[in-house]
Amino acid sequence: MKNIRNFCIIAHIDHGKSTLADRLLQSTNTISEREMKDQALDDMDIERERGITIKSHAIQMDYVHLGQPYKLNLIDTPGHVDFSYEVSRSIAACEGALLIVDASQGIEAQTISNLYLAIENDLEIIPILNKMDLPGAMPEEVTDQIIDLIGCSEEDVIQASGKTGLGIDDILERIISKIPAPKGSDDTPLQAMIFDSVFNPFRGIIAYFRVFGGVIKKGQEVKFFNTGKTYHADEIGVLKMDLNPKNELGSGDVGYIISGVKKANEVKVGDTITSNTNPCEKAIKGFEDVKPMVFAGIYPVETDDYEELRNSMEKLQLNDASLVFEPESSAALGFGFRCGFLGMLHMEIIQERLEREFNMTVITTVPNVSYSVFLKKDLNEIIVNNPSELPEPSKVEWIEEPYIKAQVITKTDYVGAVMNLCIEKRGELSNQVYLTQDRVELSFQMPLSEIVFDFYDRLKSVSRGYASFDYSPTGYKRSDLIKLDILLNAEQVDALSALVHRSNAFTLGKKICLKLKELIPRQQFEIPIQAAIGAKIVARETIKALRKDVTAKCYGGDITRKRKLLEKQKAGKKRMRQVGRVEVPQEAFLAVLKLD
Amino acid sequence: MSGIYIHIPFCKQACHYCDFHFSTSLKSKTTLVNYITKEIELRKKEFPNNINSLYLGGGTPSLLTNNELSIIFNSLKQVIDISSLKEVTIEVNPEDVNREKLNFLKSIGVNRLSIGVQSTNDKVLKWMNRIHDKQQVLLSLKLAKEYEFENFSIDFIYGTPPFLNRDYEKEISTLIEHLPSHISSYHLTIEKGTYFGHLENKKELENIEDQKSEQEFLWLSKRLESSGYNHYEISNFSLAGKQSFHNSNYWKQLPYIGFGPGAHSFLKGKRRWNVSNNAQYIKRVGTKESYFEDEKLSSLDLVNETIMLGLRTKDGFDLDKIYSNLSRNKQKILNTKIQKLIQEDLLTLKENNIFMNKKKWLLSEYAARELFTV
Ligand SMILES: Nc1nc2c(ncn2[C@@H]2O[C@H](COP(=O)(O)OP(=O)(O)OP(=O)(O)O)[C@@H](O)[C@H]2O)c(=O)[nH]1
Ligand code: SF4
Ligand SMILES: [Mg+2]
Repeated sequence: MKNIRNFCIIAHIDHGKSTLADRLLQSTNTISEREMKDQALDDMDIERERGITIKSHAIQMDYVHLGQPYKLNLIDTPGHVDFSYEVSRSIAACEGALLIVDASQGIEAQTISNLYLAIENDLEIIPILNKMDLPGAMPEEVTDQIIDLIGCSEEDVIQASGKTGLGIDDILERIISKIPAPKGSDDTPLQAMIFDSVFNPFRGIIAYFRVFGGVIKKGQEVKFFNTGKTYHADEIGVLKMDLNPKNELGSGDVGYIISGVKKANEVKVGDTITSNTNPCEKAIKGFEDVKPMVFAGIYPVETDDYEELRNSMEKLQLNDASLVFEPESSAALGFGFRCGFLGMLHMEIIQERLEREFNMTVITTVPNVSYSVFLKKDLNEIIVNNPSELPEPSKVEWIEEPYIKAQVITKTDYVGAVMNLCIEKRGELSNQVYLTQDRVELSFQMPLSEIVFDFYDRLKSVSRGYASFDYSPTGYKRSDLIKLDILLNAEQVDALSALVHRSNAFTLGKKICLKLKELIPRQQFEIPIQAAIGAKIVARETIKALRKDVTAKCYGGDITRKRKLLEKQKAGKKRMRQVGRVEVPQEAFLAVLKLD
Repeated sequence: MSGIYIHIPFCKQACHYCDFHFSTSLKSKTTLVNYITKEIELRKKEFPNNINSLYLGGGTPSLLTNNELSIIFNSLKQVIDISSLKEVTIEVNPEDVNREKLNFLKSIGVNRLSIGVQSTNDKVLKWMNRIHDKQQVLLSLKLAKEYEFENFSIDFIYGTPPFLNRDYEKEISTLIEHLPSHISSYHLTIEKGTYFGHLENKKELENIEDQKSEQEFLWLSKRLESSGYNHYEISNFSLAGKQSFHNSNYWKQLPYIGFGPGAHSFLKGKRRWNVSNNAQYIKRVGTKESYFEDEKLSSLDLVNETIMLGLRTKDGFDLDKIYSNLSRNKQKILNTKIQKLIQEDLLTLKENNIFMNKKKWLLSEYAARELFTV
């Protein structure tokens, strides 16, 4: 067992985790030349298309060091803040972490938050200065940042490049010499923790686990500690590029189990697997449930597709247990689902996966956070995940909204601009730390709802891209919130309502109307767009009637081109939803997120 | 019926609205004419049957010398009998029209002129970067008459920005005094890649409100119809019996064969288009490399085109003809859409023909999209 090393790769988004993993897989011959492609572990379509990692990926490598064979279990993790729970889970299965820092960017927000996660779990940290091949690499400066951050010495920082392969041998050597072998013994009762699960349409649920003690054998009866259910271990094995069946796995091993589980909710990530006949006494400390941060309605464009949408969402949930949803209905959109997401990127990804993998065209309504509303009558607290379910203002004593601790790391030059933005977003500066002479970490207390609306793009533009952002929830606070309604053609569209701070309501109303005017195509009649607070109209725009929709000429050469253009436009119209008499394009519902 | 189109890709200068394929460098004009004849020679076997029309368009075909015109006509004569064609049209710009030219055109068999007038207002002509002025327009119309081109057409542009302050009654009455047999009246379209397109990008072009476009369109229609012109296509008017065979062939999805850079053909259910670059065309026709691309149209593509083109014409399209190409289910869907558009007052169904109501004719692409079957 001393010849096993379990480690994960953690970093800020895009610092090159998956690319470095490629090089490790290559130099240990885990992946063949034929299978090799960039970021080979990112196997979901959407990961490949967007060039980001969404899910952690575990894989085992064989490596011989000083004549000794080793098993190295690697877990590549995502960098985006929406998926930080994936990092926590991966960390729980490891004794060490490669902390990667892009030498041209330096330390950023998720570098720090992910590092702290690893330190809390007592992981051995191996700092790696990556992308050394880039002309913009700043090795001295960034090495200093790393030393300051983790208190290592200069020699501890390995210079590497996922592009050229620089430093890969060093890294492998260091993994073996620095990361402790797993503790625990094969002789104790089986105790294995589930750190991830995936759905395979042919095999059902495949759970990934890490054995902390004892041995798991193919064909044995296992018990899932938390759910109390027992299963037959139909197949166990280790994770190579494919599933690699084994007869038994011992303490310290990372592997998978297939046991006939069909439903995702039967397997709780964080649960402990033990033997049915000789169970362990205690479960391993698991994880808290991931809580959705952002809520939005998802509706089929064609009302008839509701049942099919439910089916698709259920299937999607098998693959992504962090997605939660329940049925709801909207006056404007009919039947759909109120869904909880981990963040805005997660929401985008779910929408895209529904369209791509299930061929569902959907409308996503204006997203919001979860509010606590206290009623006048009895000060009873109700949870509101949908602005249109907000009780009458006269019945409400007060409303609380979720707050976060937001951390921004930026260059000193942009501190002023970043602060202005955060203050505009109702943030309060709580801390300011100079990481180096020209890098500052700013901490704010701010409402979560403010980062839902147009925050990332603004942050990027005010800092010219030199700011990274991370956040964690800190609890609820009382706020002066009111409901802003939008009327199209004099009819209120509940799917466009939002809860906003009173001080923003007017400007926001104006901006939303303008944006909708830009996005809703002209129709044969004039369409007024209004923003209202209660009965009071606070903004108004008008979409003029369409009177001309034709080009002057259509001769020989124009015919095919013209037909194709019209066909394309028609396909675009499939994404429109009829609301009253007005046809509203899909993107209009998310318009409020991108106001200038 | 079927047609021949020949594209002459040269102009003296670029009009500010135009995105046709042309070059303002005239150096390779004769060479290119020779290569067009080479293409004609190469494609001898592809000529469709029952050709009724030959059309020289551009660019500016009136820039061709008599010699260059002869080269083209002689080459065509190897394959077809030009004198038997109903319609032989050449596009001319007013500044190129003179006695000598018209004499020659008649002698080689041209029987229809299409004159690029656009406006009789000098300020408008200048704004569009046309070469000619009102005087040249009037002279060209007079000569067309004098040389007994019974059949001549003029191109007219409306829908220009309001700042030009045009007096359409004055322009139209001046023009129809000369009794053109045919008028193509186009709403100005701002195309990408043109000077006007560039101005629009910079937000330096006053745009015309839909309502004003509609007003001008309906006014022109009424004005010309009251003078005996039949508004037979959204942008075309003609005196009795003087509809353009050539353009009608396009709208009826009849075959045509096109020669020259950028020219299109529609033969045996296939659309094909030549490379629209003069140098490439010369090079590739010369080396017999592939100088065109083509595409086979599916039956649903054809249905969509029938709808799209039909809605542009006064007579519309024949519903039975469409239905015969559609499945039951698609027929049903189409029928509901048609009913909806009839209710919206866009369409009329009469004796199995579907056509746009004049008042809503400018929405014909909206209607086409609605009715498209895919
Ligand atoms: N020049 C250079 N580019 C690199 C290197 N490593 C990664 N990249 C590029 O950086 C980008 C991000 O690389 P990934 O490996 O996907 O980064 P990641 O950290 O896995 O990203 P997430 O999983 O989305 O957080 C890609 O465009 C890579 O090609 C490197 O060593 N040198
Ligand atoms: S409008 Fe006619 S003359 Fe003017 S550039 Fe276009 S093709 Fe040439
Ligand atoms: Mg990655």
